[in-house]
Amino acid sequence: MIFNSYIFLLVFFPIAWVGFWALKGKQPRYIWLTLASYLFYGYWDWRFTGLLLVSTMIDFYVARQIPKHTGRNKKLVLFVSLLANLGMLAFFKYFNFTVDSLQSLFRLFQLSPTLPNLDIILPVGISFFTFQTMSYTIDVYRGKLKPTNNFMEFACYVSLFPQLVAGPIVRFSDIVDDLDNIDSGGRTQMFHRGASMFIVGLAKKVIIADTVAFFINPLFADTAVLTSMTAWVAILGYTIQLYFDFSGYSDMALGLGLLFGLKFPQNFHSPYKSVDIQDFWRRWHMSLSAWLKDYLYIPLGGSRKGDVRTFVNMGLTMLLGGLWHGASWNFVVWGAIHGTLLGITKLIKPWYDTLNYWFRRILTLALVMFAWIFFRNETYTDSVNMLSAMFSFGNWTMPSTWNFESQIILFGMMLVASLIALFSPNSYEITYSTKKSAAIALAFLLITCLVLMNYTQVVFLYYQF
Amino acid sequence: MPQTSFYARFRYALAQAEGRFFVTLIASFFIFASLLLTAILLVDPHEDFGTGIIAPIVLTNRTEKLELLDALPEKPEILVMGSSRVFTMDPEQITTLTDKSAFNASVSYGRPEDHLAILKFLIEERQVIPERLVIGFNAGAFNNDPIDPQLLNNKHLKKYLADPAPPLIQRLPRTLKDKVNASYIRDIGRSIFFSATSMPTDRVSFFANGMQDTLFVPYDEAKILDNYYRALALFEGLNEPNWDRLEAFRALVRYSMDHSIEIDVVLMPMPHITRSQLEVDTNITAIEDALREFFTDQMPSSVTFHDFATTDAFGGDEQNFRDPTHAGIANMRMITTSIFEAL
Repeated sequence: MIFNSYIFLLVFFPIAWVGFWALKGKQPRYIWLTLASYLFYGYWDWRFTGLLLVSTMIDFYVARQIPKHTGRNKKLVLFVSLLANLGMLAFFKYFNFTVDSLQSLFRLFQLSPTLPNLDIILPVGISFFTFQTMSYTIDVYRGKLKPTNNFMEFACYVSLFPQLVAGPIVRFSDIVDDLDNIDSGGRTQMFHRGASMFIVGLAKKVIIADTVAFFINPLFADTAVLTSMTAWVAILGYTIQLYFDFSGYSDMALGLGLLFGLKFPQNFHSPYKSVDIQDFWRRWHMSLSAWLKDYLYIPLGGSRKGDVRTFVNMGLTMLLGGLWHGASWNFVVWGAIHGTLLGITKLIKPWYDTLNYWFRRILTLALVMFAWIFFRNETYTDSVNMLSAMFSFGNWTMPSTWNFESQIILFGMMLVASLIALFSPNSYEITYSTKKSAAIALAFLLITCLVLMNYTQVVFLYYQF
Repeated sequence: MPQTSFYARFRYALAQAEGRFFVTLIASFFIFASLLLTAILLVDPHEDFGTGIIAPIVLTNRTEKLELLDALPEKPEILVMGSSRVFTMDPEQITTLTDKSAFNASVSYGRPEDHLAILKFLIEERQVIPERLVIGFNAGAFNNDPIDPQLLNNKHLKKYLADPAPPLIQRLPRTLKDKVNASYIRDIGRSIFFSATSMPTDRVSFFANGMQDTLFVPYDEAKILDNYYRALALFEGLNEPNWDRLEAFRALVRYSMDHSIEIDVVLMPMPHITRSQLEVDTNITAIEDALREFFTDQMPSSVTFHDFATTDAFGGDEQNFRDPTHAGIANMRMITTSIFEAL
């Protein structure tokens, strides 16, 4: 089930929401929310609800065992959780990628062994919920968190449908207070902000991201025929689409969380306003950046072991961060580009910070956009085709399939989206008015989205990660 | 804060600015939704519901053709049926070739259930019993599209459907889901605008004998390629002819036999560029083969099949097509000649 579907908006959510608030007491609410979340997840493929349940049970049990042990045994218990989570991730997400890569490597040496290639379905959201549960057991291991004794509370946390399949990556410590007080009063105060954020997020996705995607997806489908004009439009459009798609989803997740009285961490903070790549990663997919920093970069040594080691740690973190997005070499290349840029930024930062503010913003945006080329195109050839078309500066005519009306819609939407992304406050910064006029405007926006999303209920880009 | 009941909590929330905001939001949503639904039903720009109070923006030629038939000075002996593929088949040419009166009763998105309903209406309510039907189609006419709403809503024809049309209230959610999007909203606006001013002059209209009033359209390959998606849409998700539509055609044949009506079935041509692309993108070859077998091996002797899928079959002109699926007037005249010369 996706947020921008009628089944979610008109059936699932109203029932889940009214049912939740009609119930009294912690346990009934945990159970209700967990059942709703399993239904939400199982709507896509019910078989994988078992995976979610197994992951939940392992980490709940392991986390309760950790404080009972010390030293090597404590590590061993943690290892069980990491093995289970990373094992699931490795099998479902990276098994075939590893096999295919090995086959290619063997072919390079004129070898052709027959390696098994399994028909594995990638469970939606596995990258998100495994990272969440791992953060829980690691935090318990580090003594930062006391494990919960309430299985339903933990099951509710792992499966929370607002952020189950595409983040933000919520740590238990982020919402433990809200979960502990799930039945206490005063939480309906969050409704207005939650509903507003949800509708704003839906509009970002349906009105902006999907409209731009309608025009640019065909361009990415055949990069060999790209001209300068279409290549630039494609990558500019994708830069806009990805931001409005993913941040729209995050807004909706945060909004839904608030509607259930749960405050999720902010996931985007106007990333296209960044002045350097470090700044970008403090603003883009913030919950992933923080996760990678706390559970990978710092344990690797962070910046405590000299410039070379810092550079290596950054590179390794970004490579794995890239690979987290998908089992494909284009994501590894994208991660490597960002890792390199982060390292260079660190080296030249004192000088770089003296440069003109707007120059730094434009340069950062250009570098991010350049890296998106490798993120979006599935093959190296496609990326090269796109780059050569962009910098051939040869053909600036519009595609014949774009009539005047199409051009107005596409370029108008790109202009408006750019102004929002570059200059306006983001949806987390907006002070949502409680005036009736604001409510009426949002209701109109919601109806507009419901009409526009007919025929084109496009899945969120981050679902595939 | 009172924590006694859901109702008490609701009342408490309403007393807060946030609560009032939330209630206004939900109320406004339902008001906007109701206004939209009212506009959809009152304007009904595509005649999906049969409730519109102003002229629909799309062709409503089922009603129009029945009115033209009623106005004919003599009852037609030959009826042309089909979809817009045969809009330009000329009854006057048929009369010249056969010395029999003719009428073109083809309708937009005409499918076998349309032909049966029209024939039953004419025989049972107008006592018009033709001697011969000429039914032109391409393989996409036997696709999985639902029965056209204009047939479901037509007050004369809907009673002749094999299964009675479900009431509007049952069809409403599905039709809204299938049709209402940004283009549909634009069409509501256009429908209101045209009814306040006047309909565009280049709108499709028909002569008294049911043939489309049209001008010569020069061959334009770029236009055909640009509109290829229309041909493709006919075959979406189609692997074989739709069983219900074949059944509807069998029912039409049985009904015709009961009234001693002969039938000529014509597989209509498409331009080579459309056909070759469809052969790549769809199962058109298998679908057409299945239809050929259906119309030759499974039909009684009162049904004659004319396979004019390519221009070679009737000596037509590859450059005489108006768009990816519609033959031009010259090709249509050749097809008509070929059908009736064979008699």
